[in-house]
Amino acid sequence: MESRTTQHASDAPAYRSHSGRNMRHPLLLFAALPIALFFVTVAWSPPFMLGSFVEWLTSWQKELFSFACHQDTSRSFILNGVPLAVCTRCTGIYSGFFISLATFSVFSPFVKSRNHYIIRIFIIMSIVLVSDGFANLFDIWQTSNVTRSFIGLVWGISVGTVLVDALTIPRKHH
Amino acid sequence: MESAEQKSYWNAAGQAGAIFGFIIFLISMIGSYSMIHAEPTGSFFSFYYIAAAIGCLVGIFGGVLGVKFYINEHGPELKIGKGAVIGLFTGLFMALVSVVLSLIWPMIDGSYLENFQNAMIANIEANDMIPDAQKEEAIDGMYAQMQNYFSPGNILQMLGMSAIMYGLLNVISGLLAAKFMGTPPEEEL
Repeated sequence: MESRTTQHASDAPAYRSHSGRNMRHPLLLFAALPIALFFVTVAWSPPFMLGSFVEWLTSWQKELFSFACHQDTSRSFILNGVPLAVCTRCTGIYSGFFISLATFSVFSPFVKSRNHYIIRIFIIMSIVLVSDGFANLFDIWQTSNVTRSFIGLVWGISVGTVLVDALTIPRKHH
Repeated sequence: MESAEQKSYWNAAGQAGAIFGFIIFLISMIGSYSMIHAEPTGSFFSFYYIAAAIGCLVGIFGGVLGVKFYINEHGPELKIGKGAVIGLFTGLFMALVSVVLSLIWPMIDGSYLENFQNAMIANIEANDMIPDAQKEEAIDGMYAQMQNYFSPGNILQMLGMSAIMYGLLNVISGLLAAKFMGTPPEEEL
């Protein structure tokens, strides 16, 4: 009995505050959240840091995300004449990922109580994201930038929720 | 029995990093050559950029393979944090391998850099979104970047950017892989 309790506590090593309230897994607070914050900040930063489209072309933000996104300007949000560092779909993904991590790391009981649905929602949203991406790519249909960003946002939220689920719910020992 | 601290993850991370580094290099080369041989469209939405996005999507699975190799070598018991570390180092190895191969390739195909530069410049010239006055500036910037391809600064920049991107993304995939493929270590019971 004792060992069972210890196993769960050590696999998901939640911090315990003085009030006894469970806090989050250190990887969530010190790895996943900062990574998500970094990506979302860099993705949104060009319009606020760069003065022109040409500056954007040679910016480090564009260079960084060139490994992850097609960065087509006709499929990107443009503020003050400067595009974001990623396309609308990726903007949604990074924003949704950060929003869900920030929200559900605070409200993780919500995730714990619904973890049966989380993987299913993630799989369904992955199918939607990939289908829409390929349909746009092969010109089967064209969705608007707002729709693309919305699909990305919901997928990003589902990925973040899966991550919170992974870091807060203890694994079973086979 | 080997304790969790004694189990080395370098083999797993190195192998997965080498495999995925080669794969993402291959995907980026396919994208580059398709751009070289295509007519300039003026759009950023060419296969070159799509290949970059596909390479990144594929690259995320490097962390998963790293954890899989670790489990094959040492058994399924690992902490989630170790999965994240394996993912991080897999991403760093991937970045290293893909950048080294990118530096070697222009020596194998001597005309690659020049052809790629010409294709990029032709694409900018055909782009309607950039005002004519700014096109020259953009082309000059691109030309300077390609001329400095082998400079230490450019190599460090390529290495740094890909290490940040693949390293951080694979932290996430590595810890998810540890969650779903691994079990809690016995010694914690």
